[in-house]
Amino acid sequence: MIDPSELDEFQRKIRGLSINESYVIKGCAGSGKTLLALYRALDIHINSLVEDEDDPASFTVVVYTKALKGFLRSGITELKIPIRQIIHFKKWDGDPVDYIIVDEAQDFTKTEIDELSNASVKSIMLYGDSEQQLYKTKKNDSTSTTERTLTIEQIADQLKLKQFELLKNYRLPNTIAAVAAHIGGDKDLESKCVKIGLEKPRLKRFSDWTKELDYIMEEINTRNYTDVAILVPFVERERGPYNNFHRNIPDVNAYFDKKAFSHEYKTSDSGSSEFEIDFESNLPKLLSYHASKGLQFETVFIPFCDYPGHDKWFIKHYKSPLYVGLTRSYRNLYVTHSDRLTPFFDGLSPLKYQ
Amino acid sequence: MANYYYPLSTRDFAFENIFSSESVSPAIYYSKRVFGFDYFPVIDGVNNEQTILLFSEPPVYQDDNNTKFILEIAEAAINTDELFFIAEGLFAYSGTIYFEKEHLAILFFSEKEIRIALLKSNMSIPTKAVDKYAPSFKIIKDDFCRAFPVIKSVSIQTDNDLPLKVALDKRYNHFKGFIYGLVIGQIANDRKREMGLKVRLQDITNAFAELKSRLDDQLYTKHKSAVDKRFQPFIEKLFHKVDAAEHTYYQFVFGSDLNEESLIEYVLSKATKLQSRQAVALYLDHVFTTDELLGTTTYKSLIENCIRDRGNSSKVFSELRNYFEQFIQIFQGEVKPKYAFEDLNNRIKSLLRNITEDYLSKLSARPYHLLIDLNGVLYDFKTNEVTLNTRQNYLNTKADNEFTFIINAILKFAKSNKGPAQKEMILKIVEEIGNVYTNRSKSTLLYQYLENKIDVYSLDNASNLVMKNFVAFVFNPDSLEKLDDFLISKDVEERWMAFSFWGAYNGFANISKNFTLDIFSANNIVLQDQIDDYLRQYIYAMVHVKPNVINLKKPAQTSIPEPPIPNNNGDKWLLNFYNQYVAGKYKLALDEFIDAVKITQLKDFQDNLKSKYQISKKDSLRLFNAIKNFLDPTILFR
Repeated sequence: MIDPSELDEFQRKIRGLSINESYVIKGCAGSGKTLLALYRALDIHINSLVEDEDDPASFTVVVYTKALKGFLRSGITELKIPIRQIIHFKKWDGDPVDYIIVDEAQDFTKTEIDELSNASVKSIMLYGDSEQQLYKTKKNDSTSTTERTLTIEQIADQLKLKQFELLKNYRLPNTIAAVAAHIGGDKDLESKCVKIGLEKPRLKRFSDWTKELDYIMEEINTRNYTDVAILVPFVERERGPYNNFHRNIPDVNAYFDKKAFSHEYKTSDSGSSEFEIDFESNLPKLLSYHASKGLQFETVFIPFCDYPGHDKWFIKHYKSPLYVGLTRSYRNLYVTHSDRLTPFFDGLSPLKYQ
Repeated sequence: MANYYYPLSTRDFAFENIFSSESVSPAIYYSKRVFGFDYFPVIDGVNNEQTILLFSEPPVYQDDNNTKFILEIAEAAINTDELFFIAEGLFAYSGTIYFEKEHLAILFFSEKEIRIALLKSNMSIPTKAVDKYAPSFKIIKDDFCRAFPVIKSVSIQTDNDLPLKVALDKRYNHFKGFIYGLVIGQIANDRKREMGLKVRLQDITNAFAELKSRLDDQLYTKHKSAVDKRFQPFIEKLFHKVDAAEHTYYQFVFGSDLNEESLIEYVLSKATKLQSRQAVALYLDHVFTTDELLGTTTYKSLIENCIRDRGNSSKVFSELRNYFEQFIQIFQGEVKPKYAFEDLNNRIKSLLRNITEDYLSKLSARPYHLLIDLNGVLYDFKTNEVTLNTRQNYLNTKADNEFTFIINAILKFAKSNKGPAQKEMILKIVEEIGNVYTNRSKSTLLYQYLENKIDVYSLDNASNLVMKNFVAFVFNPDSLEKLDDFLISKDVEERWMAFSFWGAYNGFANISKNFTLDIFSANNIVLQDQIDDYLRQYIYAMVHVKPNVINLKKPAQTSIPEPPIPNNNGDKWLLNFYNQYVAGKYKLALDEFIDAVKITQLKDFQDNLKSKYQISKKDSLRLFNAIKNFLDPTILFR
């Protein structure tokens, strides 16, 4: 279900475009791109139903991350849209359909964009954010060559399509944006955020890492949070320098299991796993920063915001992933640590957290 | 009686907008009223920003790419004092028009356009009243529309009362939210068992997700044989959840009409040795007695089997178990996959949704009746306060006072922003209530927890139902769905209180349609009419509120109720307390108890009870503490 009272004038303008019009939407994280994609799918469905119920329009939503696929699927299912495919690009059959919607378009190459465009009979809508590009280059399996991914501007130029830009961030509360912008990414993030946060992010220190996890479990239980992500830096113990003995999914998973704390987790990134994250379950989801990309949660916990002895390494490799993690919450953000707080937060005004 | 016509279109969700609040206002109101939608479209040539332009006949107008519809409003539904003549057949209406079923029709130009409007609005969360007005959706032909001169500009006198009217709309919206919260909450109370099934089905989804993430990990890491045993508890948990859901499902679907007669029939059909109803009845008596004596559960099992036997629906749960078994077998490499994992996963999800929808459809037919007499709930627009004239369900006088006080504190600091609730406003409400009940507004545990001064807060800190419901609201001020989940998860009773707190804070326009489906369905016309009749008096009352009696800038002062003081005047709390805690437990008559309550010092209290009634010091200490806890306002809100 959707709350149209939350849309602003510009979003309503895009939403009002004809379903037969092709265009590209550029928008920062949380600018409502996925929501507009859902609206688009809904409009196509309703139009199709009313015009000719026996011959409904065919359409496909193509995504680049499996997690996003699961997220979109739960939205589409809830809207009761009988869509032919919500499919990861790697599994897309390339068959022509009336409408194609492409999310996270910035992670596709020129060849892939051409394939998608050619397969759309009536219109194609592409959404994305060049700032959130995960892959600068990708290997083309058929030619064994490496190809650069395109920015949103390059996609609009290549396909000669109108480009609209969503400048505001509707998902991220300004209070969280103030902290995320300090870490990196878009320095103007806070000013783009229109949502006034219920409260500032909570920053808490504990005596050891297990206490951080105990607190997270207690807080989820107290508040009965049902849309939660717990984000950690690494998917495996072996990743990162030697003192990565708990900042990874297997260790946190084992600790949660030991405490009989129900949760889901993913040790694989997009594309390589058999199952999507289940957004119809309301269990907390234990993910890596990377795997959280494109997703949103009511409450995000980021434990272990310390990396003693390897600050430089962490800063070099984890600035962007941590920024992605911090910007996943649309309501509550908890940052915890048990050693010296990572220098990412150095100089952050105490007024910006509680 | 004359009708007036207001031409609109589906542009910018106008259709969704008006059916979220059951009203329509001049476009300018929407950006000022700080509730619901903050925008409203203006169609060139027939609409005006400042006022509602009403036509004496359906007008001819255009709005390309949008579906047109016209509100046909009977004169009885509007305040004619606010109606101004503009030109022949054209009037300006300054104020909000609140819909009344019998005085409103919605005119479309084709069936197809009705269908589009309904389909689109169906996905809008706050758009809840469409079903209520669906019988008033009509089709007119273009021929019936009259061409009026194009309105380029309308000279309308500035409405000096606009701030007052907007403020009253806002107050009415929050008051109406409170009333609907009460009703929705009663329905939620009534549906506790059904909600139990919803929770059980969600448990299956959760357990399946939990198992899948572990299977996925194993497939990915390819450490199959090493970790197989780890999965067994998750597999068992999943099947246990299916059993639990099935059990609840049978109880819900068939339990309500299961009586001794049907149990006898069931046993008669199964047990060939028992050939008469009398024999079966004797056997059942025997089983029941044996269970009582030996602590066995045969009688219960018989009932469960009977319930199971009567329903064909066991098929869906068998199917679900089969799918889960296939899923696990494929994973273990024991069988050739009949379906690929993803396909199987989709089938399981689809089946779970079907069970949920099946059960929801069984619920939808139920008519509801008001348990609370709304006429005992009074509202004053001037002070923005509610008073209760009658006692509410299951509450004593003291709890009624607390409930009323909280409602008034919430109305005082009701939501006045777009997006999520503001923490400052929630803290003000918590502070206001903490101040009254503890005299230490900012040092209550709840306040400190919300301010991140302490890490842990337990719902047990709120020691009575009113406060538990209040804490539930404080933790979930934005989403009614989340509030409902919280109340179910924490097993909070009398949840109508939390719903009414939420409704008062967020207002009617923000209430999710998920919670009003029953009220606005065709099965609940009586209930709709009861609520409408009750609210109508307040719509009319708004007209008589004068600008000088309402403070538009500051919230109205909420009076603070005194904690109940024991007296000899038969205060009901004394009687309730006596019946609940004293009668049968202590050798004290009611008048003796009332005398004893006046003693405030423990030692005097103990001496008095010991000398007069031979009650031990230990027992009198227990009684003294019980009275103290009951009377001490601080204990209610630590």
